[in-house]
Amino acid sequence: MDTRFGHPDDWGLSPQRHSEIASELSDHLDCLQADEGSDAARAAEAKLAEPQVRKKISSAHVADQLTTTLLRWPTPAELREWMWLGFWIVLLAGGTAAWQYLERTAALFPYIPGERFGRYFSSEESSPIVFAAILLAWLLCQAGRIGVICQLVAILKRSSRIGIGVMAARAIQLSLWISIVQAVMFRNFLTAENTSQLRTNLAHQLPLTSEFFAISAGIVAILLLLMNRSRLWLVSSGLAMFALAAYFTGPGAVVHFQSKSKLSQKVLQEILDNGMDPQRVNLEEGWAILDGIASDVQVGHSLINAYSKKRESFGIDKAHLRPDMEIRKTWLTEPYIDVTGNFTVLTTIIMLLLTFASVILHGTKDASRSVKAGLHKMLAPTGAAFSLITCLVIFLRFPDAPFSPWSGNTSWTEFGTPFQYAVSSVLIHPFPQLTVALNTGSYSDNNYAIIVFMLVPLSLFMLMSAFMVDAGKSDSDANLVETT
Amino acid sequence: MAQQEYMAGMLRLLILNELSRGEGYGYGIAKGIQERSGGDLTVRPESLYPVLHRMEQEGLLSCKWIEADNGRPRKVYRLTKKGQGRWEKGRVQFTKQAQGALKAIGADLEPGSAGS
Repeated sequence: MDTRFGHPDDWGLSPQRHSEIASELSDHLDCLQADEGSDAARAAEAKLAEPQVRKKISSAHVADQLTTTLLRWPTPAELREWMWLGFWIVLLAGGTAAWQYLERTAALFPYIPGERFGRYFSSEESSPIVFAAILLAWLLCQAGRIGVICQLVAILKRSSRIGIGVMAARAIQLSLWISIVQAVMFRNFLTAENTSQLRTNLAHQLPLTSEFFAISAGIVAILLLLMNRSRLWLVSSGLAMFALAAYFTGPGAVVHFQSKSKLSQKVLQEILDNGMDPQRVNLEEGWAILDGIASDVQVGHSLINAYSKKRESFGIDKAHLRPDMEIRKTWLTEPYIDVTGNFTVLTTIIMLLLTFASVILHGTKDASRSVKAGLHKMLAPTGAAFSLITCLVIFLRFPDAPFSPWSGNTSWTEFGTPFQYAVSSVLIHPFPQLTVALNTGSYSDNNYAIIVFMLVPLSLFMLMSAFMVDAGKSDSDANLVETT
Repeated sequence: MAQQEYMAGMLRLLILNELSRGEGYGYGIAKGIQERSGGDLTVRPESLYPVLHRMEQEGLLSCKWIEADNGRPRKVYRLTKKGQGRWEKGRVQFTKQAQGALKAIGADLEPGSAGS
């Protein structure tokens, strides 16, 4: 093998394809040397050693890069990247676990700013030491999350320098592994029956990683495509990405409280105007009916229990224990339809496995066209299904969606916008608000889900489109002929 | 962007033109384009080879490996039937477009008159 053109890994190509290209380029340099002398040949050889030139030459072999990268053993550099990624994920998981554990043991139940029945959740002030420990754990968790995202971006950036096929393969590998880790460990194992509240909370926090990956991957793919085109695009995309990361990882809380009541909004408003707590009214009425079930439980404690469980969708609505409650209840917090994580994970895994399978099945021979055709075939129905399910889930899950079957007997109470929370958390009630801010992951679930539902399919399409555009169009054929 | 697409299409056409005269290899094709354009056009290896490989993948070119005079392997390309068809169609189309464009900007086809 001609050593002037490096190792196949430098090109991201299979040894066979690399050997062919190296032979062809060697022949070119030999001819150039014979025609124009050794200086011209040396200059051309130096030029061909530049990574961007290699990337351009290998741009016609995206499918080969994709297949080779997916099937070969990781290089030492890639193993180092995996190890760093593992470290950040462990830090994220460990920080989250510590944060949740400390909060539970310190009995720091979420205190919702401005709402009138927050007193049921917490009547105790935590000590500064406990609060500092919680803050530290939260910082570790956020450091882990930022580390994961930065590592993912670094991996994609490094691989994109070699070739778009290598980048697509790394994206598939990363997404697949993270989804599997999340699905197997944090979703199924940690949310098995009889697991503690800590574990369910942990499981709720961690899906952010893979969802973040999908979003980041899409944005990075677009960034890479735009990188050589417009600085303005690059800067604005970078800012958009930063804003997304800052919004989702930064402190802040949005609480959407979905409530279903036999009482009309007008009656509720009257109760509120009279300074009465509607929750207590409903609670008392409900409690009278529920007394046979939970007569030995304290009112406040029960409410905490039912409320928090329902919000996280892992609890059983007490009304289910008494079928007659369905018509007697006056105030019921609807449980979440907890499809966010599973839906995302499942669809991501299916899409990635299909991509992976199509690449392997088609092999390297004429793979470019086969993979492109396969992706086209796969993308259209998957994309349509993804969009339909997304709309359906949003429609069913959020009662204020137009024509929702839930609208009518459902009222929405919105306790604040992200901006209101951000401002009030700093200026108005720093201590309890910060406690809410620490619970961002749990309580921004609703809004977060909408954005994730929209961004995940979009970003996957962006990523796939980016790959296909680069593979299919002779984009890098541009500026091919120099005029002298 | 329009100019880049135009140049990309032109390189493909120039390659088809070179290979319509018989089989050729990478350096030979680049050299042929340079010589036939009177030295006005040069093609860099990083531009030439990806296009050659794509055209091969698209079935416009076929290739075989032979041994060069220096004993090294050499990849030789030739037009396929599909490539021949593309060349004939592309040549007519390109000539018509180029003539139209030259008329539109008030230049004639005589060498050296483009800038006048």
